[in-house]
Amino acid sequence: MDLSNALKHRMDFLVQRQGIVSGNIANVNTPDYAARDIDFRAMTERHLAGQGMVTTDQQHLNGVGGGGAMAGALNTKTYPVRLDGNAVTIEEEMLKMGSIRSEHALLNSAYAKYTQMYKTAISTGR
Amino acid sequence: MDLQASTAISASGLRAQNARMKVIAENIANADSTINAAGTGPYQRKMIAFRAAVDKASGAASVKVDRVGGDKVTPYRMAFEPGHPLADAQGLVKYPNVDIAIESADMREATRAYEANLMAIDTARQMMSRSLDLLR
Repeated sequence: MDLSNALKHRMDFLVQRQGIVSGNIANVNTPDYAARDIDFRAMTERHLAGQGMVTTDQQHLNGVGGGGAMAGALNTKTYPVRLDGNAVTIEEEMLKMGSIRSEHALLNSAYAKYTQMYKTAISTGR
Repeated sequence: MDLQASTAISASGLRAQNARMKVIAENIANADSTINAAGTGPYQRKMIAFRAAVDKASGAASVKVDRVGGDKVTPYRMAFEPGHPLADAQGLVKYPNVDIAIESADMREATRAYEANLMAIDTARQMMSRSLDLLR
């Protein structure tokens, strides 16, 4: 895995995670909904193994821990559960979102620097 | 899942909180309606229930309004007003079971959830534009 691939993989993960965090925030008042999160290690292992269930129909679900890059892990350990069974803390989700945003920005500038190296190499040949 | 999908999920959250706000407004507006639309008694406080809906393409959870129903548990407010045209033999008038304090607390919560969803959209948008800037 070269650098640009590694950056892409991590950015992919961040985008997935942003989607899951958005889902958590949207469901902040849904009874019996527990906040979900995604594990980078699990996603990478699945990615490297390159396998998962094949979806042959639009109606097929990827499922928890199934194929695709999506993994929805239920997380009830670190969150207080409210009376209606909801386990989402807005503050926690905001923190996650902030770290996703800053890391995404960091990876973007790393990628820009990486491509800059190629540009430099090309221009010095002239 | 891409950033477009996560924006769509946040939009479903906005819609849900919007519907909730509508129900709260209805309750507050009818806090003193002694006769409901059907004419059978005082206005009954309404409550909204949400349901997580799994988006088939991405597996992430958006949110939908499950149902809006009447609050049948909270008792009606009884007020002693003998001169009221709707007063019973004891001079008591039945008022809706709406508590303005509870409604305003709910309203605040809805506002906060709405803002959080907006924040999620903003984050997704910023990530998108950062990535687009790579093309420059």
